[in-house]
Amino acid sequence: MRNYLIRRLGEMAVLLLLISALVFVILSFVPGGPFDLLIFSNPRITAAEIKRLNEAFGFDKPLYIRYFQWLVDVAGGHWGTSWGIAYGRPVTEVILARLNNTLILMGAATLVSVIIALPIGIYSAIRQYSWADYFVTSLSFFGMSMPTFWFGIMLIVIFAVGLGWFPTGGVSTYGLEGDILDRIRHLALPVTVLSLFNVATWSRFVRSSMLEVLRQDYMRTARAKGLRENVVIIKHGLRNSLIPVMTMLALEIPGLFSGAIITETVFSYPGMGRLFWDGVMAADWPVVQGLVMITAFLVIACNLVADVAYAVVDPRIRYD
Amino acid sequence: MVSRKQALLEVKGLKTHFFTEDGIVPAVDGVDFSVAAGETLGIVGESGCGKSVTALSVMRLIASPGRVVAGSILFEGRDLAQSSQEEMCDLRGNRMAMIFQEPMTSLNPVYTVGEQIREAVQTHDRQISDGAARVRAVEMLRMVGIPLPEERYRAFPHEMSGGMRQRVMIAMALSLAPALLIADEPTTALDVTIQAQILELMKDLRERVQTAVMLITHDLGVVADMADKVAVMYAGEIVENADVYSLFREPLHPYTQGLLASIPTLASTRNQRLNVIHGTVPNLLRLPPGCRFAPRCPKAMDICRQVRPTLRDVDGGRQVSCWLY
Amino acid sequence: MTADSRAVGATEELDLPEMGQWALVWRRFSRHRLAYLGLIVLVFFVVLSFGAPWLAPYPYDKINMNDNYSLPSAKYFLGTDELGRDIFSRLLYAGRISISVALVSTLLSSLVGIIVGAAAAYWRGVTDMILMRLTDVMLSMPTLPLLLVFSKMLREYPTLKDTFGDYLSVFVLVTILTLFGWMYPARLVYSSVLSLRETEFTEAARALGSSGWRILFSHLIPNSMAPVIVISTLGFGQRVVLEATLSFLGLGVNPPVPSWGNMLSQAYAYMLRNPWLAVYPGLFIFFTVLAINFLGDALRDALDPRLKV
Repeated sequence: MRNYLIRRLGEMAVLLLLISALVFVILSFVPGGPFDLLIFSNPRITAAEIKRLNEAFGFDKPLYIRYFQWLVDVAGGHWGTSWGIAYGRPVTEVILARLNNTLILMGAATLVSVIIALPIGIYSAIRQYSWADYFVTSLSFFGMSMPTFWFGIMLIVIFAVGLGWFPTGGVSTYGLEGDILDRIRHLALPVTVLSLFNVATWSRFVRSSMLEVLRQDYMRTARAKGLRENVVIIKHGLRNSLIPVMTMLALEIPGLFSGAIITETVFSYPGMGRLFWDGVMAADWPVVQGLVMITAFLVIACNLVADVAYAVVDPRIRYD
Repeated sequence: MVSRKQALLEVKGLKTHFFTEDGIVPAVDGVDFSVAAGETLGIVGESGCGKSVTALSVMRLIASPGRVVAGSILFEGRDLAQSSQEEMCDLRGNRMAMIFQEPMTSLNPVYTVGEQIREAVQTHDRQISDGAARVRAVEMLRMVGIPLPEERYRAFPHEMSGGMRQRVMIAMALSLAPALLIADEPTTALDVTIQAQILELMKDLRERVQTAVMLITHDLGVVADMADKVAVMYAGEIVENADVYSLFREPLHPYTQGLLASIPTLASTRNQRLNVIHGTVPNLLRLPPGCRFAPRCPKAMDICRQVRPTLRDVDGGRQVSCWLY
Repeated sequence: MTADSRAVGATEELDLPEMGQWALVWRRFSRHRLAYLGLIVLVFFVVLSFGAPWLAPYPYDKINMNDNYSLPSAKYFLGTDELGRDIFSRLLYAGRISISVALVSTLLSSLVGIIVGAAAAYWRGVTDMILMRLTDVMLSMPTLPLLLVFSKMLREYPTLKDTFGDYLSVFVLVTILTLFGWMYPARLVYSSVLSLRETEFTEAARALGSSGWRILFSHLIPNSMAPVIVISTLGFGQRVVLEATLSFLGLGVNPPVPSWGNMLSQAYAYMLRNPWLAVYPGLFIFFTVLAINFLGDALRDALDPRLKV
C-alpha cells in the first residue's frame, strides 16, 4: 500500500506538471497581456513604454523560460499577479477570498444530494417497476435533459422575482453579513439547482448498483440463512452496492466545480466558479491558470482518494 | 421400496410458474414427492427441467416474476405454501438449510467467512453470546475439514478456493443442525477430485447431524453414490419415482432409460455408439399437448401425443408417468 | 432462479435463428413506447428547425421597436423580444444552429474516437500506449473550464476571424466540442476491437488471406459499432445542453447568429422585464434533449442490454 501510494503520488505530480505546461502554453497564445488595462486606462502610453515594461517584468523572454520562472514562483508560493479583474493583487489572495464561498456551496449541495439520492436510489431498486421507480427514472431523464442554468433562471423567475421568497443572487444581504438564516436563504436556490442534477444522476447510479447487487448469489444465501428481508437488504446489499457509489462520488466531486461555474454565474454568487468565468472573460490569465491548477489538483486527488477508498471498503482489492 | 417412515417433507401437486413478458413459463408443473427424516432424495434431470425451481419453491425463495401457484409443501406438519415470509425466516437456515451450485459467488465478498457463519447461528439463536457464536462457527469450520479453523475464521471468501468455499457453505447450512438440507448441484462447479471430497464430507455429516438431504443434480453417478430414493424430472414434471436400486436395475420411463444409457462406461467398446436422447428439451412456452417427452421418445404411441399421462403407482412401490405401464 | 433464467434463455435461443439479429434489435427497441414518442418529437423539432426559412413567419433578425415585448398574439405567435423580433421565428432559426452544432460535433467526435480507438487496439505497441495514455489524460481533465479557455483562445485568432466572420463562434464551438468529446467513443471502440481481434472469425479472415486493413474496416469496426451508436446518441443530447451552457456563458454561439443558448443568455439579461423570453428556448432545449435521451435509452436496451453508459 505504501509503495502504491508513493507511485500514485508521483504520477499525480507528473500529470499536474503536464496540465500546467499545457495550460501555460495555451494561455500564452491568447491575445491579452499584463498591461492591457494600463493601455486601456491611459491611451497616451506609447508602444515603446509598453515594451520597456514587458522587458522589466520579463514578459519578453521565451516561453519555456517564462514557464520555468512560473514553476519556481509557484514552488515559492507566488502564483503571480492578477492583471485583470483584481488588478495588481496576488492570485493566491484573490482565489482564497472566494474559496470559502465555493466550499460552502459545494459542501451543502453534496450533502443534500447524497441525503436524497441514496434512499430513493435504494428504494427504487428494491421496488423495481413500482411508481416510485418510475418517478426516479423520470427525474433522472428530466435532470439529464435540462440545462442547469435554465433551471436556475426558472427558479429565480418563480421564487425570487415572482414570489419573492428568496433573493435573486449573491451571498448575503448588505448589513446582514454573518446572519446564518440570511446565508441559508441565499444558498437555497443555488443548492437546489446543483442538487437536482446530482440527485438525478446519482440516484440512478445507486439504483443500478443496488440492482446489480440484488441479483447476486450471496443475496439468496443470506435469505436462505433465514435473515429478515430488511437485514438482507441493508447488511448484505447496501454494503456491497456502496462500493461503486463511493467511487462514483469521489469522481463526481471535481465535476461539481463545473456546476459551480454555471450556478455561481447565474446567481451572481461570489465563488471560485464565478471568478473563473470573470477571469476568462477579462483574459486575466494568471488567475485562470491558478484556478485551472486547483481544479486539476482536485480531480486527480479525488481519483486517488476514490481508489484508496475502494481498497478500504472492498476486501478483494489490495494494492501492492 | 419407498420408505414408509413418517414423511419429513411431503410435496403434493406443486406448481411454480414464471409470469414473463413472453407468457407464463410453467417451470414446475404439478410435482409430488416426499422425503423421510434422515433420508436422501435425489432429484435428477437436465438443465432447465425445474429441479432448482422445485428446491427454491420448498425454501419459498422464488422471486418475482415467479410464484408458487398451487400445491402443498408439508414440512414437519406445517404447509409451507401457506406460511408467511416471517414464519419462513424462522425455518430457513434453522430447520431447513440450502447450499448452492456456485460456491464462488454464494458467499458475501465483504464479510469474513467466520462472520457469515456466526450470523447464521445468531439469527436463530438470539440468546447466544457473540463469543459463544464465534466458538460455534470455528467448530463448524473444523467439522467440515477446514484446516486452521481459528485463522480461517478471519479469511475473506476470495482468499479461499472453490472447494473450501463450498465447505464453508456446508458449515453455514449445518450450523443449526437442520432436519432437511437442500443441496442444489453442490459439486457441479468443482474439480472432479474436489467433487469426491465434498460428496464424502456430505455423506459423513449426514450421519453425524442426522439430517435428511434433498440432492439436486444432473449427475446420475452422484445420485447412485448418495441417494436412497430418486425422482426423475422432465420439463417441469416428475416422470419417475423409485428407490435408487430399482431405478438403476430396471428404469421404467423411456426418459430414465435414455439417461442411464447415455452414461459412458469403461466396459463399453470403442466402436459402440453412445446412446443419446435425440431432439431437445421442449420450450416451456409451447409444450406438446400429450406427454411432454413424446416428441423425443423412441417408444411413443398415438395416445402419448394426445393425452398427458399422470404419475401412477406401479409394482414395487414405484411411480411412473408413462402410457407403457 | 437459475432454472428460471435458463428456461427463459432457452426460449430466446429458439427464437433467435428465426428472427435474425436486426429483427431482434427492432423487437427490443419497439418495446419502448417512450422511444416512439421521442422519435416523433425529435423529428418534429428537426423539421421545424431545418424548415425555418419556409416555416418562420419573419426573418430572425427583423427588428421592430414599436412591437417590442409583445405578448403572444395572432401577429406574433409567441410574442417578441426586447428588440421586437419575433420569438417563434428566432426559435426555429436558432434550433437549426443548435441542432447542427450538436450533431456535427457528435459525428466528428465519433469519427475521431473510432479511428483512435481502433488504431490503438489494432496496432497495439507504441501506438496503443501513446493514444490510450492521451485518452486517459484527456479524461482526467476538468472539461468545462478547459472548454471555456479553448473557446476564448480560438475566437481571438485573426486568421480564423477573417475566414468565418459571423460564424466564427459556431466553428470554434464545433471544434472544441470535438476536441473534448472523442475520448468516450475511443474507449468503447478500443475495448471492443481489442476483444474482437482475438476471436475466431478474425483468425478465419486472416487465414483466408484478408489484409489487416480489410479486417479492421469490414469486421472489427462494424462489429464494435453498437455501443458507439448508443453513446453518440446520448452525447448528441448532452451537446445540445452544452451548446446552450457555453452560449449562455458567452463562449458558445454568439449573436448575430441565433442559437437556443444565446437566446437564453439575452433573455437572462431581460428576465425581470419579461420572464417569458427565458421560458421558450429552455422548453425547446428540454423537449429536444428529452426526446434524444428516450431514444438513446431505447437504443441501449435494444443494441446492448448489458452496456452501462
